[in-house]
Amino acid sequence: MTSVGVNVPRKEAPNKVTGRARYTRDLCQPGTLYGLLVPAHVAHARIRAVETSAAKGLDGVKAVITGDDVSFLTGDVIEDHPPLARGKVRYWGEPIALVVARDAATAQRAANLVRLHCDPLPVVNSVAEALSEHAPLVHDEVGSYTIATPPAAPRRHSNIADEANVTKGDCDQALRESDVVVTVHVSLPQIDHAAMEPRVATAEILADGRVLVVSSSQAPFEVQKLLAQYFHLHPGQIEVTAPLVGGAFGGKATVQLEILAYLASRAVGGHVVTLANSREVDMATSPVGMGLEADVVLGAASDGRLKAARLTFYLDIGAYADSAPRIARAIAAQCTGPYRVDHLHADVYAVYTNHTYTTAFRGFGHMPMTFAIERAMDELARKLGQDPLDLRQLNALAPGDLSPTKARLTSSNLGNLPETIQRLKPLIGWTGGAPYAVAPHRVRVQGVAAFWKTSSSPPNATSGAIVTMNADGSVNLSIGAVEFGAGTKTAAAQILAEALRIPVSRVFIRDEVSTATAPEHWKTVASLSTYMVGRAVLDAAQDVVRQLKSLAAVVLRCAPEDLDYGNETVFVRDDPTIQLKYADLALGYQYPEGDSIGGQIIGRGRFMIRHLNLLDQETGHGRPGPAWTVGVQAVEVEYDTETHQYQILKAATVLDAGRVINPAMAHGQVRGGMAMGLGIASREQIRYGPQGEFLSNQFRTYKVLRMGEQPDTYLVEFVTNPQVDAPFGARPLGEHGVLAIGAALANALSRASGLALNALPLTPEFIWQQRRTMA
Amino acid sequence: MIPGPLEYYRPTRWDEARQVFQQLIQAGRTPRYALGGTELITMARTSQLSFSDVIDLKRIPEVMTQDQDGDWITWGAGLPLGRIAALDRWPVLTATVDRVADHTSREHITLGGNGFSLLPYKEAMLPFMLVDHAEATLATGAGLVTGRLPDYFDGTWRVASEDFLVSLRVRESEVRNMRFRSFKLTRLDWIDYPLVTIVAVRHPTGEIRAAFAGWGSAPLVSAEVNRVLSDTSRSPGARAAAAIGAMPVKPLDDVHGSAAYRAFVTEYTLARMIGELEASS
Repeated sequence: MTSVGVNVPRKEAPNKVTGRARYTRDLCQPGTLYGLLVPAHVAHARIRAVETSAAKGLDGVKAVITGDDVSFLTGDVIEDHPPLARGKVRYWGEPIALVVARDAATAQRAANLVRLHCDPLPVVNSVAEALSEHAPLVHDEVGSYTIATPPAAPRRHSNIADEANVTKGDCDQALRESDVVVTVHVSLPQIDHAAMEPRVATAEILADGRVLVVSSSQAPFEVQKLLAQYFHLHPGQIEVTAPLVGGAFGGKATVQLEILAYLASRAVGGHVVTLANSREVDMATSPVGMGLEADVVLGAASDGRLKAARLTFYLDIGAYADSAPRIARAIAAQCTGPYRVDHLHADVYAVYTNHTYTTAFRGFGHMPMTFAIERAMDELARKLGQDPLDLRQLNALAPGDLSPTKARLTSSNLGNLPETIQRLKPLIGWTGGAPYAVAPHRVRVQGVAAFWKTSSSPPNATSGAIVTMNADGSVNLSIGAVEFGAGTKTAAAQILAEALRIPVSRVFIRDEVSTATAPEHWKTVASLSTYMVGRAVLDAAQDVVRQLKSLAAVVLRCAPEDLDYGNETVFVRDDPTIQLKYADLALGYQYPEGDSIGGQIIGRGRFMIRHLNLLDQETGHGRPGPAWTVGVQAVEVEYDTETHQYQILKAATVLDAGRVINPAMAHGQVRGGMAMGLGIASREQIRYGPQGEFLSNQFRTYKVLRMGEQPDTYLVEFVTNPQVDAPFGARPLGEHGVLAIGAALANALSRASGLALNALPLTPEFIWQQRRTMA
Repeated sequence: MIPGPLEYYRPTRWDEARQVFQQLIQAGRTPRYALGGTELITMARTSQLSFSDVIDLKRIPEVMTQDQDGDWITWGAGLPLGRIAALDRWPVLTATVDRVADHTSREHITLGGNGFSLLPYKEAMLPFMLVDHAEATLATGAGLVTGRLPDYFDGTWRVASEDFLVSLRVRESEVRNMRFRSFKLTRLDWIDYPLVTIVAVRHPTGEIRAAFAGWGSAPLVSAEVNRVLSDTSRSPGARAAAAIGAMPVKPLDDVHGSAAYRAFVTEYTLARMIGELEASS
C-alpha cells in the first residue's frame, strides 16, 4: 500500500494556509443584493402585526417579506416550522422579517425599522416547565402537523414532539435483584456549533426557470430536494453548489437559509440575493445543539457486572423539531453506551421549549447521551470501590452480544473496546483514578469514559463517484461529499490512488460540490463519508480498471484476464514489457496508422448502505447503522480544592479505527474532537434570561476553548480491528473524539472534588456551588 | 460594519475638536469622540449604539503624549493599551492594562477609550485610583485644564460631554518601587470580561490600598475597605473576609458570575494579595 495508511497532506491545504481557498462568501457576483433576517426579541408571543412600511420606504430597500407572505411549513421530519414567524413567535431570535436591499448597511438600517406588534405569552424556558401540568404550549396543536419522514410520534396537546422507547428483558425485576444501584440526574445546556464560518446562502432564479443556490451546506442534495418540494420545482431545475465549508459540526446539515434566500430572490424578480448570518444571528436564529435532562438508574451485581438500566432522556429541542426525532432514535439505539445490559428500559422524549431550535451536532446526540451513562458508570465504580477502567472492560459489549435494539454484534461491526482500554493505560500512565496531592490545596487526578457510536443514517443513504481520465493518465474524481475540514476529499483521493495504483498527486478533486455535476451523496454527516464515498470510489476504480484492461486487451491482442496494471501502465502479466501507458488509453487508443478505438476512460461507482431498518415504534428493535466505532478517553487535571480552578494537563483517546487511511489527518480529527469536547464540557453554554432571552449570542459571552487554554498534551492512539465491509477496513472516526471526553473531565473533577458533578459546563463557579449545596 | 450614514472628522488641535463637537450638537446631530474605536464599531454593528459623526482625536499631539517630564509620568489618552504596556513606565499599570481584552484589541483600545468605556470595567483606571498624586488633563472651554483625578473621576466621570480627557499622569517619586499585585479573575477563560479585576498596592505610607473593577457597575476604591485591608493585627484571610463585608456596593450578578461567587473569588484573591504584599522581600 502506498497511498492508504500514509500521511498525505490535505488536497485543499495549500489554498487554505495561503488564504486562497474560496468559501461561499468569497464568491461575489456584481449586482448581488443583500438579505438580512430581522430577529424577534421576544421568546413567545402571539403576533398581531409585523410593521414593515418604514423599512420598505427606505431608499435602497428592494423588498421586505414576513410570515404573512409565506404560508408553507418546513421540517425534515415533522413539518412544524414556518420559514418566517407566522402567527406566533416561538423563540428569541426567530426571524420575523427578511429585508432585501442593495447593500448590507441599508439592509441593517431597514431591519432596525421593522416593528413587531405582539401579545407576549408565558415562556416555556426549560424542559421541566415544558412538561409541567398546565404548561403553555409551544405549538397549539402538534398533532395537526404533517409527518414528512416517519417515524415520529408527537403527543397531542403537549410539548412532546416525539418519543422513542427501547425495552429489553425485565428492567424492574433486575433492578430489584441488583446488589448496587446508582441514580444520576444529568443536566446539560444547549450549545452552539461555533463554526468559524457563519452560515450563508445565495440564491438566484434565472429567466429559464433554473435556480442557482450556493450555500455553506453539508447537504447540498438535501437542499435541492427540499427546495423542489417546498416550491414545487423539478429537482433538475435546482443547482446547489457547496464550496469549501468553514466548519460545520452538524449545524450545516439542515436547511434554513437556502429556503429564505430563495424567498428573497423570488421577492426581487429572481435577482441574486445573498443571505449571510452575522455571528449573533448564526447563534440565536439558526439552529443550535440540544440540551438534555436525563435520569439514569444502573443496577449491578457486587462484582460490577451490569444487570439493569432504566434511562429517561428529555431533549431540550427548542421551538421546532428539525432532526430531533432522528436524534431521539439514535440515542435510544445506543442508550446503554458500549456495555452489555440485558434488562433495559429507555424512554427518549424530544421536548419543545421556547428556546432556539436545534439540529444535529457532532455526535448526533451521542455526546450528551454518553455523558449521562458515563457519569453513572463512574459513580458505580466509586460505589463499588472498583477501578473505573476495569468496570468498563468487565461490561464491554462483545461479538455475539445484542445491541439495545437487538442488532447482532460481530467483531467486524463492533470493534474491540477492551483492547482500547488496555492501550489507554500505558498511554496516559493510568493511576487508577484516585486523586493525589501535588501541593497544598492542589490535587491531580485522572478521569475516564468510554463511547460507541454508529451512523443512525436512513436505510436508503446513497453515494457515488465518477472518475474521468485526463490525457496524461491522471484522473479527476467527482464525489458528492462536502469538504468542511474533515479531510473527506483527501481520503477519497487516497482510496482512488490506492485502487488505481497511482500517486495521490495524480488524483485531482474539486473543492466544491455541485448537485448538477456530482453524483448524489446523501449528506456529509455521521462520520460516514470515508465508508460510503470510499466504497463508491472503489466501485468506480474497478470500472476504470475494467475499461483500461478491455481496451488494452484489444490493442495488445490478448484477453483482459491476461493483463495486470500498475505504475500507470497496463501490462501482460507474464511479460510486463508488453504494456501500454494509462496515457495511451485515457482518451481512447490511437494506432500508429492514425485510426483510433475506445474513448475517454470514465469510471462510475456507487454505493448504498444495506441491511439497515427503522426502529420498530413499539419495541424499538432495529439495526441503526452499518457498524459501531468504540473507544475510551481520559483526562488528567490539576484541581485547586480551595478556589475550584483547574487545569487540564492531558487528554487522551484510544479508538478502534479498523484501519487508518491517513494517520496525521485521523490524529488531527480526534484531537480536534477532544478540544471541542473539552470546550463544551468546561465552558460552553447557551444562557437564557428569565423571559427566554438568548444571552450568549457572541463569543464575548459564549466562550469556546482558545489556543492558550488547551491541555498541555493530547494523546491519540488507534487499535486496528478491521470493519470488513469498509474500504481497507477503515471505521468511521470523524465525530468520535468529542463523544466521551467531557464525561471524562466530569469524572476527573468529581473524583478530585469528592462531589458528583452531573451538569455542564464545569466552571469553577458550578463546582463551588455544588460544594456549598453539600455544606 | 457601521450601518448608519456616518461623517468622520480628524482634527489636529484639541480646541478644533471641541468646536466641531459643539457645532454638531447645535446642528442636532449625535457626535462621538473616538480614540481606538473598538467599542464604537462593535456596538454600532449590533445597533446597541448609534451616532451620526465620529471625531477622531488621535491626530491631536497632546492626546498622544508619552512623556516623562521631571517627576511626572504622563500618558496620552490616545495611547493604545498595548503601547502603554510596551513603554512599561509604571509596572502596576503595565500589569493591569496587559490583561484587558486580547492582544489584537489592546493594540487598538486606548487609555481614554478604556477609561470612558460604556462597559462597567475601565480597568486601566484602577492604578490611578490608588495613588495620592494622580492628575488628569482635560480639554475644556477654559483651555487645557489639569487637576487632581478624584475631582473628575471616582469610578464615574464628571466631565461635560463636549470636553474630553487628554492625558493622565502620576508622580514617579510616589509610585517608584511601590509593591503591587494586579489580578484579573474570570469565569474560566484567560480572555474574558473580569468577574473582578483587583489592583492592590502597598503604598509608601504603609497602607494597603485596593481598587476593584467588575465588582460593581463602575470601578471603585473605598477608604473603609483600605482601612480593613491595612489592619495588620488580623490575618490576611480575616482582613479579606472583613473587606467583603465593607464593600460599599453589592457585587454584580450577571452571565459571567453570580454575586455570591464574585464575593468568593474576591475574598480568596484579596487574602492572597495581602499575604504577598506583606511578605518580606
